[in-house]
Amino acid sequence: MPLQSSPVLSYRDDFSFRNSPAAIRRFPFPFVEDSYLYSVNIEPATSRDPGSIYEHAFDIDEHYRSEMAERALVLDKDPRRYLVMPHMQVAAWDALQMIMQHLAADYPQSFSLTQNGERWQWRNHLLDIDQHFIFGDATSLPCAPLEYIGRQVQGDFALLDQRDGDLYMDAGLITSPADWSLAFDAGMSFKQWHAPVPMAHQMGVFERALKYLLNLQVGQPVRRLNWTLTINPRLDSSPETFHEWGADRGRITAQNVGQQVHLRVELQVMARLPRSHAVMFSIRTYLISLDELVTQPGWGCRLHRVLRDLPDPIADYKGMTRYRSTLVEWLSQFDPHA
Amino acid sequence: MTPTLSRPIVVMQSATACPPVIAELDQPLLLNGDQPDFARRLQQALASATVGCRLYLLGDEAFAWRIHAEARAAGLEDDEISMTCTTSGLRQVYCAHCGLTQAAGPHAVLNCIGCHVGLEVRTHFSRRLGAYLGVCINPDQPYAGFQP
Amino acid sequence: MSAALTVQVSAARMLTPVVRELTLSACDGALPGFSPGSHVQVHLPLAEGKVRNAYSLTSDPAHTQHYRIAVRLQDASRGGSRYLHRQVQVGDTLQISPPANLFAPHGTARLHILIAAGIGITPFMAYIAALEQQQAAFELHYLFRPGLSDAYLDELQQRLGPRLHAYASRPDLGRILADRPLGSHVYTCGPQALLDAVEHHATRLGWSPRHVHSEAFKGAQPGQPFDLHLLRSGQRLRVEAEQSLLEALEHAGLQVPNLCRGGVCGQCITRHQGGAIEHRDSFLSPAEQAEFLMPCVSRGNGPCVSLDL
Repeated sequence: MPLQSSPVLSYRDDFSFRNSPAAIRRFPFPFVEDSYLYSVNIEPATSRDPGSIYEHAFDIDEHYRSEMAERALVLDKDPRRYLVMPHMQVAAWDALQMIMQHLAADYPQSFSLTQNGERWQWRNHLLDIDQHFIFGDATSLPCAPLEYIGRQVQGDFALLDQRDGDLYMDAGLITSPADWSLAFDAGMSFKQWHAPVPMAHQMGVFERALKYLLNLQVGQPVRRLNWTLTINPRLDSSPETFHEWGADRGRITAQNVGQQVHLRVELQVMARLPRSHAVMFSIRTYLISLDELVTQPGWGCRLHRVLRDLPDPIADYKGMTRYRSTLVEWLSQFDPHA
Repeated sequence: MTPTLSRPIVVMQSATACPPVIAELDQPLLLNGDQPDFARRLQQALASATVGCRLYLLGDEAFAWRIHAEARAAGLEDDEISMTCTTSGLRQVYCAHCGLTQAAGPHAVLNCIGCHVGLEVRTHFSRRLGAYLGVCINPDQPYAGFQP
Repeated sequence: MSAALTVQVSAARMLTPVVRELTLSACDGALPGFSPGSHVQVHLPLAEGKVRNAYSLTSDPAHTQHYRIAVRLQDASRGGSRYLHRQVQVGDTLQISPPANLFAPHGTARLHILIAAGIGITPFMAYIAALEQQQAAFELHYLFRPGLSDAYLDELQQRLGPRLHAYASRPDLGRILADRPLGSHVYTCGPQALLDAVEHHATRLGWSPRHVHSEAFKGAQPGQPFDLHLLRSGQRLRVEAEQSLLEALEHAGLQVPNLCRGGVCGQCITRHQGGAIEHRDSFLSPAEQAEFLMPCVSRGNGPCVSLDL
């Protein structure tokens, strides 16, 4: 499927980011019921629904160039968003291989990969890249492998080392986090980096999730959806820049709600990396303004009920406390029972 | 007799009465932060330690986690290090905005000495950094608490 | 669980009079990548029914045009190794499960001390290839019966030089484990008695248990035949002498999660609700065995066993 060549839109400053009608239709609305409660909600990451975000292992959409430009801005400004501990080199190459092979197979008009033993050639027509390199030799690439491929694929990536019956966040490229810091979380175990999440620990959610992930097999990835809200289509909603964007939460009014409040959905895919035995945790973020969202039948109504009834600790954790009542009030117009 | 190089190492922030658990160790090497050549002696002890060595740290959080990091760099792993932190004293805070890890008191807020943003010290803790996460407490006025 | 792979035996050679190495090539598409320490389950069509044995991949994970396994002929066994030695020829195809890893090297180890006995050398052949590429520090202690269970010895001597320590009788494990630099990890593969001995010396010398890793070479052993009653479906099955309980279930079309086929990984855990059980696993506690069993190795001890399946 040929990718549209759209102009580069921005996720900061003037926030020119918009979704086309096609992007709105394929947006992964995450709520299947009128209320939300944690569950492990993991499913096998098999290809389904051609044209949807689930068709390919790594989803490239109309925002590709915009997102790659944004990523470059974040990395150039703050190198702490990228980290690979020395023992994660093999995992980084595993990730490069997995991403390149899938992109070349799924989007042959945009990417191609030729492998001749260790001599590889990678072409990215969207960014005008033609790169010969030696697989496994970082000096043959302009930068280290995870950063190299990370600058050419949408989504954040964390590489988790599996050891001592646990998973450790020992590498990653994270430029669009929903309020968490790779620089701080680096080196943490699975439960440690999930420590701030309210309510889920008592429910045993993380015990079950960890057990499941430790048993991931090569070729059998799994996925789940995660969601939160963001003011403006700001991809980089990191703790690092919170002092720059946090105040936006206090500026929501009944007039600007539809334009400024965005639903942020993460497609999280967990895959076993073959040679390193590490787990690749990829986080592909989709943003939609509420004005765009309510054009889809039923979405406004369902979102109203979810946000109205969301337990306070979860609402606070997702950062919506200051504008929640304004938001719920605005959404009630889409709910026939409100 | 315990081989010398895997004997336990006890590091205290300052010379204090030995807690009972220390008294039961087999010929431990005792180091304390008040000693004039403490840094060099600690570095030497870690460099020559072998598998079987256990490290015991006593002090405030800021001291204990700094030594913990040095021990990790020398090859000791989490389960070979035990720590007794005194309740009063300093702890470390990592400023998310500028990346500086700094010593701080027990208060829930502080001004980052690196970038001057007023920080809320969260409960989220990094064992690797030995520090709590500090994030801007008032994004409406990030530098409100700063007096140059 | 993923589908089996079809592979072709593209080469075979005897490494010793009792150890045969098979080279397995892909029949369609590429073979999946794997990490050092991985094993595959080879599906063996024996007269009594399909049997599956697990074998470590000895080949270099960097090259996945083919896999290699090395099989030791076991006399007191169910016939799997006999089949792979005597029946399988170059050109034959085999079904194997995709690789899985229950014995991966530790990511933050500063020194990897490998201890292998006999056919226990197999996972370490893949380890060595990967560790050398990463320029990681390691040494290998290889215990074998010369001329019989010393597979790969020549190759190892050439490649490893002083990093190889070869023994015709059990070495002083205390000496191997003493005075080691911080961050050392020890990995043992061989008979249970060796694993137990390494653990004993390591504990005595103050090694943290998280630095001591092992893979036992255990598989299903034959036993008395017995009947199975599956309570949920009502099905009645027969477990033959040479078949494991798990294999009997698979033969009847049931899908039971499994990985190691040796009673250590916990995947195939099943609730039993009647009949005497002979527990042969290393996973469940005695309290758990009152309720559950590991069908990959454990068997019924009487005429019939009822399972919650």
